[in-house]
Amino acid sequence: MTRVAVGRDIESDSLLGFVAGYRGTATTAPTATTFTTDGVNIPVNSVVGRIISTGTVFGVIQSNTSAANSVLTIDRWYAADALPATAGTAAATTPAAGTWQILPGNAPGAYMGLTATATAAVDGDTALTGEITTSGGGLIRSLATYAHTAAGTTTTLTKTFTCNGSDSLPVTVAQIGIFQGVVAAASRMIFRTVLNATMAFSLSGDQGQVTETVTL
Amino acid sequence: MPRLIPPELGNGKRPSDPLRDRGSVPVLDVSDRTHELVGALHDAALDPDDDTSLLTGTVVMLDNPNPADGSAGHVIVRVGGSTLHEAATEVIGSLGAFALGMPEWVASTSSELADVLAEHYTVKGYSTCKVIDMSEVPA
Repeated sequence: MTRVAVGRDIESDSLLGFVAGYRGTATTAPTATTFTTDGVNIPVNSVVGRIISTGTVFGVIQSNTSAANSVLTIDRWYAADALPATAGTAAATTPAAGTWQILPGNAPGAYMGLTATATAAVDGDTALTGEITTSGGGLIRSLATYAHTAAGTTTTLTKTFTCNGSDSLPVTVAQIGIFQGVVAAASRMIFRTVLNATMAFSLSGDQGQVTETVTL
Repeated sequence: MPRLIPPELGNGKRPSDPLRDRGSVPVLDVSDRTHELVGALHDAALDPDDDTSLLTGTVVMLDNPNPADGSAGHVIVRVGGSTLHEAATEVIGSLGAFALGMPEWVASTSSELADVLAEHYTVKGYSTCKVIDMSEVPA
């Protein structure tokens, strides 16, 4: 497992970044991927990876401008009580303008993506090269199952992937990535891992299970 | 990965039967009571537009009398975007990282998943796993 540079930033802010956030009342209508703070100037890219919450939804910030009205770019809108199962799940409805806040700490990451590419991971990786993104496929980025036990040293993310008729088969999966969000083109990568055994998917209905074990 | 069910003791299993298939997916040992339920809901995994059968956000708590990593207490699992079959195999796979033995109880916000797991971990003449209510989980 390679804990890439961006992943270390995410870990640092997630564990220790309990610092002041921001809040306000927006009057500019948000879009599907942007939020204008209206009257709050946030240092450029200082809240990347943090969560902006407004109305009944939240987004994971990918970048922010520094201006009288800082503009946040998010990966998408999420509903906390209905997290998207896969990259194919529709985003939550774009909220109306209104009260908002940016919470301390980075968003956690439990989305798992797959690739057939075997290229070795390096520290500066920000994407999973060749990630499978086939529309409607069963091998696209998915929310993994999280497990931990009190006082334990490890946490696992486990996902059983089931390929379907939309997948481009056969394919042999060689690596995975763990991401902060579900959007393949945007959400930031924490870990990139070469599997200890490749997974071959040949026919619709084939399954493969990946467990990413993280020692804290 | 500890073997959670000795193959010679599994429900209807022969000693040569695998505990994991070639994709390293744990083989559910639910040949009796919950087999049809798992089978029916597994078909939904082939429909990429059907999110209604997914257990996203389901919480599972499992007894862990013999922890593998020096931890204490039960294992807490939060299911991702998974069907019943996928979720069951993910919980079983997850527990393998934390446990050297089988749980004596399981609780879940999904009664179907709890039933499947309890049956999987109940091996005649070897172990019993019961479903308990979430409110009964020891603090």
